Amino acid sequence: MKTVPKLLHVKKDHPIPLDVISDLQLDRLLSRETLSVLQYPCGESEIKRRLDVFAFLEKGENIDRLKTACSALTDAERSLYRLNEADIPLNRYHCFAQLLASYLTACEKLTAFSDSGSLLKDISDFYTSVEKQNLVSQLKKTEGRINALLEKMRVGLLSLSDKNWLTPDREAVSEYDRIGACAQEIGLTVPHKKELKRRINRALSDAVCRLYEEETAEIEALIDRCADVDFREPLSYIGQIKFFLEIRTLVEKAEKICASHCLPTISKERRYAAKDLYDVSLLAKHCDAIVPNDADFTEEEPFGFLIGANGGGKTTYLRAVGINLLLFLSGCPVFAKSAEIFPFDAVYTHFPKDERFDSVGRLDEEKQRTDEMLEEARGKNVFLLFNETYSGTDEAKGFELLKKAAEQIQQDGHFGLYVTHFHDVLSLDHPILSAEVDLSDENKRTFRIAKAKGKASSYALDILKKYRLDKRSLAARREKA
Amino acid sequence: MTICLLHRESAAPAKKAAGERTLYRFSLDRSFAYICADVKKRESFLSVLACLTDDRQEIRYRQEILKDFQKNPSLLEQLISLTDRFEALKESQKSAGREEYRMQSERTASSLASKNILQLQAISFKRALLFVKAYSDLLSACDLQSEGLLAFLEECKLMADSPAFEKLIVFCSKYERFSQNDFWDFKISLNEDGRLCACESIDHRFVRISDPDQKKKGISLFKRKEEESFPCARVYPDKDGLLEELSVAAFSDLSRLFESLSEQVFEAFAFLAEDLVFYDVAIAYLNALQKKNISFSYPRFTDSGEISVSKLYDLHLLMSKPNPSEVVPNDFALSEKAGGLLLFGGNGSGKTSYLRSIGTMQILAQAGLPIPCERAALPLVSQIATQFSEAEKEFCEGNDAGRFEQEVRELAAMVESLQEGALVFLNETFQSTAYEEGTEGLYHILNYFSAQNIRWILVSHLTQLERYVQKNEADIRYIKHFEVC
Repeated sequence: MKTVPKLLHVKKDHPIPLDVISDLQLDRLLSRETLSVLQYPCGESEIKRRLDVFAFLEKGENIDRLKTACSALTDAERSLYRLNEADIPLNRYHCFAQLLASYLTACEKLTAFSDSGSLLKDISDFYTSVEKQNLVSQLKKTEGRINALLEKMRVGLLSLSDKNWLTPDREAVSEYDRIGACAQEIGLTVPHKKELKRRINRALSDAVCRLYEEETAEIEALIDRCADVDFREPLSYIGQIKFFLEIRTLVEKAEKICASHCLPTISKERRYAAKDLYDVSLLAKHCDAIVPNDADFTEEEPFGFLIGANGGGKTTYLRAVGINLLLFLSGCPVFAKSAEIFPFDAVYTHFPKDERFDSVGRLDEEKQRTDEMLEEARGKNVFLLFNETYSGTDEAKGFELLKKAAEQIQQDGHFGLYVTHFHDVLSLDHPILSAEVDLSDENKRTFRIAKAKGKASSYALDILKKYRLDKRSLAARREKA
Repeated sequence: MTICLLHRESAAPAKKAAGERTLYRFSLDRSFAYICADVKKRESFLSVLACLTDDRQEIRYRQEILKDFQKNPSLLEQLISLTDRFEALKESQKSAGREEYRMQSERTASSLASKNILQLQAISFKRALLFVKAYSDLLSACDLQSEGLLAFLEECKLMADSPAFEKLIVFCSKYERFSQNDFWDFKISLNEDGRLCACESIDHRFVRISDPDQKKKGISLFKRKEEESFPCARVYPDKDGLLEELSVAAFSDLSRLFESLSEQVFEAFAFLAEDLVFYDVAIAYLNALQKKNISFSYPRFTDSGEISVSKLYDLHLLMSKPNPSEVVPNDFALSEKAGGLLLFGGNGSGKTSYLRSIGTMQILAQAGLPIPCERAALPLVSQIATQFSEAEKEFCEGNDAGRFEQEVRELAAMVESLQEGALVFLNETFQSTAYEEGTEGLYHILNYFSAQNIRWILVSHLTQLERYVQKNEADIRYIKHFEVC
């Protein structure tokens, strides 16, 4: 017996912490099931195979094919659930017939991917094997026979008097139809009948089975003959297909606001280079436009600081770098015009936490987390993302700790990006990026990130003016008072 | 099918081309208060007048029906009586429907209660059908000429004379007598999911059962013909009430069918009561004119736009004065080329009454009613609009305009809504400002009306208008002591 091929090979070791997912706001965009796949970077070969699937899904018609397969599998899963729940014979027979139908449809749909990437093709080949096709043909016959038998049993006449009887229907015309026919003759319209949709009970089911003893016995025998069929086997694809479809849905959502995507190139060297990188987490905020930025982390300049104006898009840029890296590591398309990325082992984030620090102070907590993160990263190819780490203390102390962490990162050779307000980082020997503003247009935020030039400024005055808390506004307030 | 005695086609709601305000300004509400004391009926009648039709065939349609009712005075009376009872049946059927809905929504329906509702719905439908038969018999007994009443008869006969009609009466009677002790037989169907998708009542004769318990025991001296045996299975009592639920579903389906069929019959006659009210008040109007010895005539509709009316009475004066001889009839004429008419005259000379009589004439004529005059020829208009000089509106929030501004505002709104072929009545417009300015302003508006093919009649003291209006633009008349010169 051949091994059942998988669509997703998820290695269940060294997961990326869930904090990383929530820091990057991905939990607002994707389902828990998809996030659980993103938690496990899959390695170079698997990235290639998954990207093949996404390449196949670039065509709308292929997405529809995969959706149809997924829907057929979901039907089969539902039928199997209903069969397990069915405790009344007649109900069980119908559920079994439905299971056969939906299982056969699912198998047929799974055979339709011979022209796709290797992952889907393996599945397609598996379901077109002689062994599987023999089973399918046998099940088709069984399904046909059971349905023919059930068809006979589906309509009956029920007479309720002192004793209640069930008898086969001899083309009895309902009173509704007889009255309706007369009404139509005099020009009236007959309303549609209301569908009942009521579960049959045991008393009625037993009566039907007694009325059709031979048919019932044959159905039971046919069901027994299928006892060895593993109907669950293809159902594991549901979750796997859903992962690909959900990522595709995200791509489509991003396309609506002109955020392009690409299938990234796998870099042999340690590198993270991307042109027009988007932070798709902004989709969760229903933004109607996202400003893209470039990213370029190389072996020569693996780690840098990001400084600049408040509200200028520093955190957004950090998230854009993190999200797209995480997507790449799981073999997904990235939201950029083009990208060449090295398959890092992991991504770690250090974002401010909102919880109350009862046992230790905020600074201590941040320090502890940084130490743990750097310890965890030691010996691995990781990408580290820091957001305002050590901002919970005075500038001198904070900067000292930042410098220490940066030295450690440099020493361990990690890649990463550190967002900070400490402008003293300009004195360190690391690349500096800055969130730019338009000086000619009242310091308007451009949300563009570029290599820093000249003196840095956070443009905090704009925000103070906006809330009438700048010097002139406060003076005016005083005069008024 | 839809029975409609006011409109030729199906009853498409007509737009309010005259409007209540216009009827009020022409005192039609007060005039008809003398004719019909019943407020509800009067309002219904006036609402028809407010919806002006310019469809010549529809006007003739109404005129013919009115003539039929004039010829058969008891027919209208009997139709109204029958329709009143028909409306009462409609109400009782509605309450049965509500009861069923309540039971279904509260899930308190039992087979017995459903059976009772089924009985009620069957009775309602049967009675609705019998009303159709009664209408058919009543109309058949009269010598009818009008297209509307003949179509009404035709529709009723089409239903009542069909063999299916009798069959439906039999079905209804069957369920009217439906008893608790009867056999309750159903056809049940399962869908592909194995769920019960239908349970429908069937006639007992479709069910053939051989009950083994009822086989005769003992020895018979005569060899009997072997009884035919039918396959059947006993359904043992259930605990979950499924059989009860199935009975409820089947009875409710039939109830809903009868309800829907009744509603369709009711819907076919939905406009009848209102339509008959119109003719009832119209006959009262003709009787009132006859009582006052005033002649009336159905107008001739011209295509050229020419208006020529002889001895036209103001209806309000006729109805309000005890002695009709006190009312002076006037002729009215407007040449086909004249865009409008300027009416001047001294205070109390009867300008407004004259204007009112013309407006009333146009509305009555287009409603299909005769006019209190000797003879009339007039064109159909698409809309009638009025602007009468009024006192300043009450002080209220948001109204900061003076009298003149109010008039301008009202005129502006009117201009927005006017369509080609409309007829505008203006009474003392723009007299609350400097005459010269008012005159000039008004002239431009009148000129705009004429350019838009909107005819107008203006009663005014602004005699300077004579200087502005060219002879070929409008006719000019003077009224002296109720007589038009």
